[in-house]
Amino acid sequence: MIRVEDLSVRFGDTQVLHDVSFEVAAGESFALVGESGSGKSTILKALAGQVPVAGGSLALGDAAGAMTAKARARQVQMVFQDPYGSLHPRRTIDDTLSEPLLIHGLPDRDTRVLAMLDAVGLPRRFRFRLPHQLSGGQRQRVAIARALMLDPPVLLLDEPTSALDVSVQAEILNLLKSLREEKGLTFLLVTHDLPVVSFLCDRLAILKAGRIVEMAGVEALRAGQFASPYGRELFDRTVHG
Amino acid sequence: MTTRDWLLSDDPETRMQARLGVAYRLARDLARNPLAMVGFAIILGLLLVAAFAPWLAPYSPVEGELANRLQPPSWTHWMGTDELGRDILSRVIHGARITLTIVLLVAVISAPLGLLVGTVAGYFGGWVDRVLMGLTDIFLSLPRLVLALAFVAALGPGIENAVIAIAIAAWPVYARIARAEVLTFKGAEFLDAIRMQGASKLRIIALHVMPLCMSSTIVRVTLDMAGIILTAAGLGFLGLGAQPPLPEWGAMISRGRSFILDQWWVATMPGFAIVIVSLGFCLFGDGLRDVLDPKQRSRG
Repeated sequence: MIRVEDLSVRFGDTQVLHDVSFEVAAGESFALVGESGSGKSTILKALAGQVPVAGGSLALGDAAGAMTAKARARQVQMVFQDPYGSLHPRRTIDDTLSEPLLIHGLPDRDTRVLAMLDAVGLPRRFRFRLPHQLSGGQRQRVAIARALMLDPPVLLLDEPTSALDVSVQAEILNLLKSLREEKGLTFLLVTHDLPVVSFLCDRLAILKAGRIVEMAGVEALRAGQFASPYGRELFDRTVHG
Repeated sequence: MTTRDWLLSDDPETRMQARLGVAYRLARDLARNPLAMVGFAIILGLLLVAAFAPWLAPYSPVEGELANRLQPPSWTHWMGTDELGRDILSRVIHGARITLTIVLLVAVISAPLGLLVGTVAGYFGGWVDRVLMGLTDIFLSLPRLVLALAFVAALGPGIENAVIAIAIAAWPVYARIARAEVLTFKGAEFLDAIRMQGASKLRIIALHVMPLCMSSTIVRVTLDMAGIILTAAGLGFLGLGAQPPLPEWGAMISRGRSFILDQWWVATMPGFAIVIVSLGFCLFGDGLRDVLDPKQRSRG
């Protein structure tokens, strides 16, 4: 479903990604783990079409090769880290959820918006509220709903819970897990939070300074048995604070 | 459930109710500011006077009796008469129409133009930004009245040309403000999100970027109305705005200048009108800013 081959990205003279390659099968949930600055978010942005690719190739969803922005939107959507910054402050929840349908000229906006509110567990009476009338967790539900409005097979998750309270984090993670099972979604998750990975993902790649240093299954994470020294270092830091 | 509760409901049931609720909150906040209400009353008064000018004015604004020239204020002529024996009150009342036309036309032309230039420059950045802002800087570097004078001189005197000239001189400020506003949220994730949905650039700028710049532009336009009135009056005073016998306030002051020592009312009465209306727009604009833009709330 996602194939990344020898991906390189540079900002000016600095190369932030060096020949990154990995594949994610349909329905799989894959995590990119690493410290800040390791380039994990840049991979997401490259897949989202938001940063120019310097080398290598990307394939997403059912289509291969270059895509228009509209075609890409039907294949992949993203849930952002900060639910306070990812919703337009002057648009109601209804506006935010209807917008993708309007852009793509899809019918039955009312029924689809209501069905999506139900699916992400938001009361229907919130439909015409503005973002500032919602809590962080509710906003993140709206952001997830927005990402699912076009029924994309792939969802990119950029630290979707790190800006939320611990109690709300669990709710959002459960929601993501059940949505994935229901709709057969493919997840690509970026995080530095290893417990989130073990809850939500099947496999993970550990990044350091723009390179993948190790790929492992989630069992290796649970057992704390990484092959690479950096992987073990990262694990030890999480476990022992 | 009262209408008020319905408007203030946290859970509106329809789009309409949500929009009315937002509008009601704005109006309520504005009504709590007494100075803004004074400004609003003045503007409302101007609108009414302009709308009903032919019925309110006791005499004709353009015809006078020469036998009655330069009469001081009295019960028959509340503001006196001018050098052609015309009733000044009637002229001031009819002048409200001209002033309102100029102010509205300038606002309608220059605010959208400035908003468009500013948001496009801010959103695209790079060379688009440099070119548009370079142009804006050139217009900004010239004093507004001088620039308007130059355009009127080129286009010929008259109200329409005065409007065009003032509008050309007024838009750069709005462009600057809109651009600055765009830069504050340009990197926000809600714009990344809308780009990921495949929205066209036109759609993003018109529906997602512009609404966020709208309130600061509206506030600025209201505050600028006073300046626009003064510029129009200045052009009229110099004989480049409205032409005789139109009762434009600035032109009236200009005619009254020759008698200012002995017949003070000829120049003073239209001057009062300009001051009061300008003040009204300033007070209302200040109140609007407090409501729409709580970040810059004035102290006190």
